[in-house]
Amino acid sequence: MSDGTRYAARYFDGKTARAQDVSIALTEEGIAIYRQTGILLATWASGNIVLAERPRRGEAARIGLEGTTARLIVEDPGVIEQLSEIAPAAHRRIRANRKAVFKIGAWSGLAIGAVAVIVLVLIPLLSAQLAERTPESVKRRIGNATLDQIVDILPRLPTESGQVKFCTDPEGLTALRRLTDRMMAGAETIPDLRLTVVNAKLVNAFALPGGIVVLTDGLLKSAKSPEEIAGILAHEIGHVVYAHPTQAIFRTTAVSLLISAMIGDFTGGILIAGVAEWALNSAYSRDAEREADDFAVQRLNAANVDGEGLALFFEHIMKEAGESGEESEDSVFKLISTHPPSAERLAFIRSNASGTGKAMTAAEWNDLKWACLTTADRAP
Amino acid sequence: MTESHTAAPAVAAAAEPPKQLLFDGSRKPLFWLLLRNLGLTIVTLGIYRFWAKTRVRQFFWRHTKLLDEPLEYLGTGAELFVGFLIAIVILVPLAAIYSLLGFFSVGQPFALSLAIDIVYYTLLAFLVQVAIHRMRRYRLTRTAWRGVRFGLDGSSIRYALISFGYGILSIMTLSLAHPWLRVATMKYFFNNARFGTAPLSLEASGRWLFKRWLVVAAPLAVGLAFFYIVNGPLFLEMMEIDARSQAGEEVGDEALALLNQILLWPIALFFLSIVLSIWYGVVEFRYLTNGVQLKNVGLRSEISAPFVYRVYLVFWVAFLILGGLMAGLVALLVGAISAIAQNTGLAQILPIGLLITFFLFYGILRTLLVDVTLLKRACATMSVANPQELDSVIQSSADLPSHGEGLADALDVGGF
Repeated sequence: MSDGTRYAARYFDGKTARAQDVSIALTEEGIAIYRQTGILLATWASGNIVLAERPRRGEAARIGLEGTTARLIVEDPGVIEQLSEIAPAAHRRIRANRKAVFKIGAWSGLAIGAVAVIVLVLIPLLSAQLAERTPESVKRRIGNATLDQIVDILPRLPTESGQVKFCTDPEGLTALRRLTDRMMAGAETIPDLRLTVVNAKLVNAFALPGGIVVLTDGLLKSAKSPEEIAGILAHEIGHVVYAHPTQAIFRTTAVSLLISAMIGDFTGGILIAGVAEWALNSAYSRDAEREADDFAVQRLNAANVDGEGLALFFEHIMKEAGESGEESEDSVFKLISTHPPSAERLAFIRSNASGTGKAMTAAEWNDLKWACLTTADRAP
Repeated sequence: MTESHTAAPAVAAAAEPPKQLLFDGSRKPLFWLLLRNLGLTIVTLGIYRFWAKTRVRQFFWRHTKLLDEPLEYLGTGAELFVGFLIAIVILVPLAAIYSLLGFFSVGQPFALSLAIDIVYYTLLAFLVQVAIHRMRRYRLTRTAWRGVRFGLDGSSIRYALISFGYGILSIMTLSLAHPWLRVATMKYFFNNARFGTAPLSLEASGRWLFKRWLVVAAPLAVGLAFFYIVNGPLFLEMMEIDARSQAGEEVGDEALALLNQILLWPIALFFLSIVLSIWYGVVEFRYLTNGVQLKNVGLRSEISAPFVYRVYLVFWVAFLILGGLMAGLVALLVGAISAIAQNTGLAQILPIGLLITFFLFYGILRTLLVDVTLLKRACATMSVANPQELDSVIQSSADLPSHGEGLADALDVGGF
C-alpha cells in the first residue's frame, strides 16, 4: 500500500500564510512532508489527519491536521485513495457531515417536543397564572379601553350606521340584572360583573377583561325567546369566571414570542408568523369556548332555564353561516368573539341541558328587548 | 515543435493575466443547495437554518479564490445553533417585559405607551448594531486563507455606540451626515480587523463621499421641499375638503385627486434617489476598497455602476415575469377549484400559500441573480497590489468566540 511514492503538494503550515511547494510520502504512521531540497519539514500522525473538505472529482484534495488550519493541497487523486487506507479517520469530518443529519434530526425532534410542551402546557398554565395575578384595577382599565375601541370600530362595519352608544333603559337593564342574579345564585364563584348593552345592529355578545359582558341591541332584537339570551349570557359569564379574556391577551403575547423565536426574527412582521399565530390562537379559543359552554349549561340547569334556547341560537348562526358562505357580514362573531358554533358544541348542549323553565316573565322580556330605548355616550 | 508548445501558454497568459481574485461558483449546484435548504428548514420548523447557512457559506467561501487559493469556512451549524439559544435567553425576556409593560399601560396616558415604545425600539436598534459587530467577528474568525485565520478585535458595544451616534446625526441632518456614518463604522470595522496577526486599516474621508452623496440627497431634499413648501396651499385645500366631509358633505374623488397631486412629485423624486443610491453604493464600494490596506498590500476595485444597474434590472424583470406567471397560476387554480368543489375555504387558503412560497423563492432568486453575479464581478474587477507581502503574515493565537452570531440571527441582520 504505501510504496514510498512521493507526491507533489502545496503546504500551508498554519503558522504563516506562505505557500510552500513540497513533496509528501504516505506511510503507515501518516504523512511525511518534505521540502523540495529533501529536508523533512513535518510529519502528520495518521490519527490526526482529516479531510478539510469533501473531495470533488477534478479538484485538488484538501488535507488537514485536526485542530489546526494547516493544509496540504494535493492534485493527484491517488492520494485520497491511499489516505483512506493509512488514515481511516481522515474522512471523519465528511462522515461527521452525514452524522450531522442525525444530529439535526435529533435537535429537530427535541425542538418539536419543546414546542409541544410550551404550547400544550406552559402557555396555558402561564397565562392562567398571570391572569389570576393581574390586579383587578388593571383588568378594569384594559376592559374599558377595549370596550371604547370596539364601540369606535363598530360604526365602520357595513351593518351599522351612525354612532354606537350605551343603552340605559332602567327597566331593561333591571330585567337583565335579575336574570343574571337568578342564574348565578349558588354558584361557587360570583364574579364582579358589569353587564353592558350597546345599540349596535349586528348580532353579537362578548366578554372583556375586568368582568365586562357586552350584549348588542341586534342580539336582543333577533332573539326568539328570553332563553336564548339567558344561554348566551351564561356562556359569556363563563368566559368571565374562567378569566378567558385576560388569559387570551397573555396567550397571544406568548404565542407571538414563541413564533418569533422559532423563525428567528424578533423584528416581526412575517406573513408565516401571522398564519401560524392565527392557527394556534384559534386552537386555544376552541378550548375556552368548550369551558364556557360547560359553565353555561351548568348555570342554566341550576336556575332551571331551558337550554334549548342556546341550542336554537347556535343552530340559527350555523345555518346563516352555511347559507351565505364564510363571509356572512352578520357573524361578526369571528371578529370579536372567538369561535363559531359547531355541531359538536350543539350536541353537548342538547345532551346536558336539563332545565325546562322560563328565563323571565313576558313583561321583563319586553323590557329587555327595548333596553336601547334610551342611550348615553358613557356606560351607565 | 517544442518551441510552439512552450510559446502557446505564454501568449495566452499575456492576453489574459491570471485573476488575482476570482469567484467561480456556478448557479446550478447553488440552486439545488438553496432549494434543499429551504425544504429542510421548513420540515424542521426552522431548526435546520443554522446548518443551511453553514453550507451556503461553505459554498461561497470555497469558490472565492485569492491568488488561486480559496477561502475556507471553518464555522459549524452547531456553533450557530448555540449562539441562537444564547440570543433567545436575552431577547425573550426583553420582549416579554415589553409586552407586559404594554399590557399595563393600556388605558394610561398615551405618552406612557409612547415612551415605552421609544425605549424598547431604541434598545432593539442598539442591539442590532451590537449584533452586526459580533456577526462580523464570528465570520472573520471562521474564515481562513492559506491556513491563516482572519480576526476582529474591538468591542461590539463601542461599534454600536459609534453607529448609533452617527445614525442619530444622520437622521437629524436629513441624511446629509450619512457618508460620515459609513466612514466611521467602516473604519472601526477595518481598523479592528486582522489577517493572522497583520492588522488591516482603512483610509477614507467622509468629505470625499459627501460630494457623491449629494447626488442622492439632492432629489430627496427637493422632494421634501416640494412636500412641505410647494404643496403648502394644497394641504390647506385638503384640510378644507376634510372639514366639508366631516360636515357630512359628499366630496367624492376630490380628496383622492388632491392627494395624488400632493404625493406625485415627492414619490417620484424619492424613487429617483433610490435609483441613484445604487450608483452611490458602487462609488462608495470602490472608494472604501481602495482605502483598505494590510502591510503594503492594497486593493483596487474597478467595478462599474452600469453593470450593477444591469444586474438589478435583470433581477427585477425575472422577478416580475415569475410573479406574473405565479399570479396567473393562482387565478387559474382558484377558478378551477371553485368551479369543481364550490368550496370557498380552499380557494381562500391557496393564494396565501402561494404568496408564502413566492416570498421564499424570492430569496433564492435574489441570491442566484444578484448576489452571485455581483460577487463574481466584484472579484474579477479587483486587483491586489504587492500580494507577495501576504506570504509573511503570521497566524494569531487570539481566542476565538465559541459560538456564533445568535443575536444577528434573531434580529434578522446579515444576508446568509
